[in-house]
Amino acid sequence: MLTRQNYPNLIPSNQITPEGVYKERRELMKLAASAVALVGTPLFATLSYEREKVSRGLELTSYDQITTYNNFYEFSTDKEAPSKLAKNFKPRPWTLSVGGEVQKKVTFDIDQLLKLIPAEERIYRFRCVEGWSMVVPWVGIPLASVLKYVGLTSKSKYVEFETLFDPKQFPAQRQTFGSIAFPYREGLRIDEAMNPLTLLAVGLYGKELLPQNGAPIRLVVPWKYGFKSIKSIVSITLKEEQTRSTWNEMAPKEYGFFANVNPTVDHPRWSQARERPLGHFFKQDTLMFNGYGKEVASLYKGVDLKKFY
Amino acid sequence: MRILIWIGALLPIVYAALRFSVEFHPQIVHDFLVLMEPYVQVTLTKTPSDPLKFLSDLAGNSALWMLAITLMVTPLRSYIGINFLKYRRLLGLFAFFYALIHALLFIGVDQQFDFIGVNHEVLTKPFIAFGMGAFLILLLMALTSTKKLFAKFRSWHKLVYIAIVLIAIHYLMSHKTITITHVAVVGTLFSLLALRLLKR
Repeated sequence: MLTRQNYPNLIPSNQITPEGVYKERRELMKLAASAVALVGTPLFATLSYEREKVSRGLELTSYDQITTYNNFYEFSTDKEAPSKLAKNFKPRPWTLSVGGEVQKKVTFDIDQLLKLIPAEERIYRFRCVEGWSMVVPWVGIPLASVLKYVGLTSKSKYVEFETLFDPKQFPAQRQTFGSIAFPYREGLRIDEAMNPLTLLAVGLYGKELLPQNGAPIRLVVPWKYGFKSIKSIVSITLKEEQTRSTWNEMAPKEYGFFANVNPTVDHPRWSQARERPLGHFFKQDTLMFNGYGKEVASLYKGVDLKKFY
Repeated sequence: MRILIWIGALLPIVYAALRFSVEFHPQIVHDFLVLMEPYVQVTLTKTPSDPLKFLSDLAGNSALWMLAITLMVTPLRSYIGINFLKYRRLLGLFAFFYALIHALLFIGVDQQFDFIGVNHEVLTKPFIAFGMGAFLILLLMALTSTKKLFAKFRSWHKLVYIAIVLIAIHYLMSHKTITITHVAVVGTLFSLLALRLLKR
C-alpha cells in the first residue's frame, strides 16, 4: 500500500495552487470510488490527506495528462499510444534483482520491497529532452535506501538499470525494424544514485503506477532529462566502470550520459532554453538542473557541462 | 471537384477543431467519436496534451501531404491520362497555407517573434535551416502563382524539387528515431519526384 510522508525539501507542497489541490482531491475521490467499485475495498483510503497552501504557482499536471502522454518505446513511439496498448500489461508478480558490485545480491518481490522501505510522496518537475515538461506527484522509495540495504563496496561506482524484455507484453520488442535497441538501459554515477532526490517511483497521485508510466517500479531523476528515468525496471546492477545508456549509445552527440537538464546546452536539433508545460500553449523558461541546482550542482563541481552534457 | 478539394484540404482544421473542443462535445458526438476511434487510428476524444506540438505537427504533416498530392498532378496526367492540371494551383496553395501555419507557430509562438532567436536557430541547427529553406521556396512559389507572375517566374517553380528534398530531410530529422512509417513517407515523396524527373 502506498502511503504519504512529508518530504521537507525541494518544491514544498506550499507551491501547489489551490486549483491543483481541488482537482487532485476530486481525482483521488474518483480513483477511490473506482477502486471500491473494482475490488470492494477502499484501496486508497489512506490517502485522504490535506495539502498545504500555495505560492510560486507551480501547478500539478493533471492525472489524465500524465497517464496519456507517454514516451514508452516498448509500446510505441507515439506518445498517445502507450495508454491504449498497455491495458493488458501485468505489473504483478514482479521481481527486482539488485546485483553486481554489492555486498549481498538480493532479488526483491516488489510488494516485499515496499514493506521493507516506506514509500513517500515527492512532487517533482519532469523535463523531457524533447522540450515538454510536467509536474508529477510521485510516490516512491529513495534509491539510496535500496542501495544501502544491499550494501555498497569500494567497487560500486556506477549503477545500471534495465527494463523488462518481454516481446509478449511489449509490442515494439517484437518488431524486426525497431526504433531503439531493447532492453532499454540507463545508468547513473553512484553519487547521483545516492542523492536523496533520486527516487524509485511506484505510484503517482497516490495511486499505483499505470503500465504506461512504467509500472510497477521506475526511476525518477528530476534534474535529468526524462529518458534517464527508466521504466518497468527488472534489474539494478552496480558496476565499477561506466554503465550503458540506450539513447547515449544510439546518438552520443544528441544525448549525453549525464543528460542533466541544462538550458544553455541545446540539442543539435532544437533549443533547450525553454519548455512546453503540458496543457499550456506557450513556453516557459527551463531552469538549470531543472530547478534542483541547490541539491545537485555540487555533484558536478569542476565538470565542463557543455562538454559532458 | 473544386469543392471536394476544399473539403479534403480543410480536414486537418476540422480535426484540430474536434480535438480542442473535446470538453464541449455533446454526449452523442462523444459516443460517435469513441465508436470511430478504432477505425481511423487517431485519437479523437482527448484535448491535445502538448497543444503547440500538436498544431505544429499537424500543420507540418498537412503541408507535406498537400505538397505530395500537388506533385501527383503531373504523373497522373502523363501516365494515366487524368487531367487535374487546373486544380494544381489550388492544391499547391493549400500546401503553402499549412506550411505558413507551421512556420508562424515556430516564429510566433515557439520563438515569440524574437527574430534574433529565429536567426540563431536557423544558423545553428540544420534541422531548422532545412525547414526554413523549404518554406521560403514555397513562399516564393505562392507569391508568384498568379497567372501573370507565373508566366514570368515559371522556371523558378522548379525549385519545388529542392523544397521536396529539404522537406524530406526536415521530416526525418523531426523525429527522435526513424521508423518504417517515416521511411515510407519519404519514399513516397521521392518516388513522386522520380516519376516527374523520369518522364517529362
